[in-house]
Amino acid sequence: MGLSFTSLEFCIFLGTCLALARSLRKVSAQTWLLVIFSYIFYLSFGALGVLVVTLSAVAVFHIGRQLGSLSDPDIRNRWLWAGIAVNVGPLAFFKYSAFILDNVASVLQPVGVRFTFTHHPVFAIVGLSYFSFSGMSYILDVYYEKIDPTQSISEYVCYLVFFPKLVAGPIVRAGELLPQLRKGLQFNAQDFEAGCAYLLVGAIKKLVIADQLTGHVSMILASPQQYSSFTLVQGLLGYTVQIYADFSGYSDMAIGCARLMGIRLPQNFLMPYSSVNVAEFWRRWHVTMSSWFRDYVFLPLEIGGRGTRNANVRIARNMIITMLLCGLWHGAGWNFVLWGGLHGVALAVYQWYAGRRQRRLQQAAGSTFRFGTLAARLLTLSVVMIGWILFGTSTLASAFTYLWRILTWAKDGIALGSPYILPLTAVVFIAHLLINKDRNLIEELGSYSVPTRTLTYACLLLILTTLVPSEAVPFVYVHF
Amino acid sequence: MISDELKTVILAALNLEDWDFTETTLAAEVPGWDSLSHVNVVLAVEKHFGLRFKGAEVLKLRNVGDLQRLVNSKLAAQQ
Repeated sequence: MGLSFTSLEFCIFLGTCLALARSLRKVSAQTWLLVIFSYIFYLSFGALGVLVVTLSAVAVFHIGRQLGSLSDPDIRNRWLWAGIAVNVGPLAFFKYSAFILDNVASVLQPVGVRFTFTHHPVFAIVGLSYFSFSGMSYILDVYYEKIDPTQSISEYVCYLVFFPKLVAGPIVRAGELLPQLRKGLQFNAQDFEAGCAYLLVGAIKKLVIADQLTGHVSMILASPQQYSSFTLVQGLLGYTVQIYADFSGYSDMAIGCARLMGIRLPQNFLMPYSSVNVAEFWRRWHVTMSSWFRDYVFLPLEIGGRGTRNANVRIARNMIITMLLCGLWHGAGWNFVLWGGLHGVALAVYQWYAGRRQRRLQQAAGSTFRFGTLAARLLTLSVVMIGWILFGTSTLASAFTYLWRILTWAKDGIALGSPYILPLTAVVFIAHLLINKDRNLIEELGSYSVPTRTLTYACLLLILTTLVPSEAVPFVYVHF
Repeated sequence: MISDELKTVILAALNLEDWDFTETTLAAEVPGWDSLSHVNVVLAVEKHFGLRFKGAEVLKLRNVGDLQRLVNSKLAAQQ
């Protein structure tokens, strides 16, 4: 399904795009070239998405220009709501309508009203959640006068469909990407080397770690009732590592692709499993999405409700609402909603606790290795892993069965042995434990001596070429 | 220019001893000024200067200079 970053076809596609872009001098021509290549890339995922993103781009570009030229608050408000509707509408229809109608039918069934929606058409549009959020942030940033609306349709379309980040992020803000597009693509040795390093590390995370785990992990998550508790723990560890390696690998490759052209995309994963509390986890996991929810959902809720007398209740309520929406963003299903709710409650509990013991928690947030820090990391990881059960299983019943069988240490069922799960889990967790979580080793690599860099790239290439499984697996987060 | 009065209010709301605020200082650059304490800063400024900001006015703020200008414009409107 679609051009995958790890396919040979994508390498040819990317190489052609870079070669042509390099031969163009005019910035506007480079922008149009990126638009054309982004459309070719997106067309490989289906024509419907291309149609929806084009209509959305034209509408949001026009609304942005209106918001930039008007001063009457009432009229601006109307355009703002139109802009939100243009972005939320396709999401509601293509992603959530079946879920909403099914739940309406379930609610009405006990009172004797019967509906069946078996013929309801479901069209999955890859990347819809990502470009809708990009469009929404553009409208809100223009409305709040944080950025000036672009006057160039090619610039806006390029911001929305820029192929490295189109189908699975990072969710870039217009204020970050548009100035770089205006400056023109930069081709230099440093950026090219950094881009290649990101691509290499991302490919290793995806192909060597995530794809090796997929087979066993998917089987265990699909039918937890069939497996022994030890196998279920292995499956959970494997999924915890798989989802991180898959998604952060994708993000690294997206950052790498853009960097080859001198475009800097924001970092999306900052060693999340080394977090000492849930709040820190969300500053390190899918950073561009969590900051989106912070800036456009949590902060407006906080500002709007600042008159509330009990600040703890207000903060807890707003955190839970934000995380429920975050859960729903990931997929139209109760598992995702409950996953968001779990993180919302965990954030609220942590915030209440942090307010009481502020100084001690600030000390624990340091990178030094102490027992207290290790315990805090383990507790945070436990909450995150319980959440991954909800995230990885297909139904609530399946999730509860999974958790129940682990908690009661059920010995019946198949004991499945995987040669990959425990070693790869150990590698990823030890890396999170030992590497300073605030360092970016890929960026640092460029400052090392030539022999060190050559040796590092040779080792990475060796790992990639020798340990890749025979079958490629689609990226997990593309489905959100 | 950021007034000493506004600076004192922000420092007290953030439990900070001192910080060199300029027009272009961003919340993210100041220790402890995150999405949670942002509301405390806004509430403290409103209380100290006897003002009430609209939600959109607060969400438009990009830096401390914007906050200073908002306070100034509200105080001028009161007179």
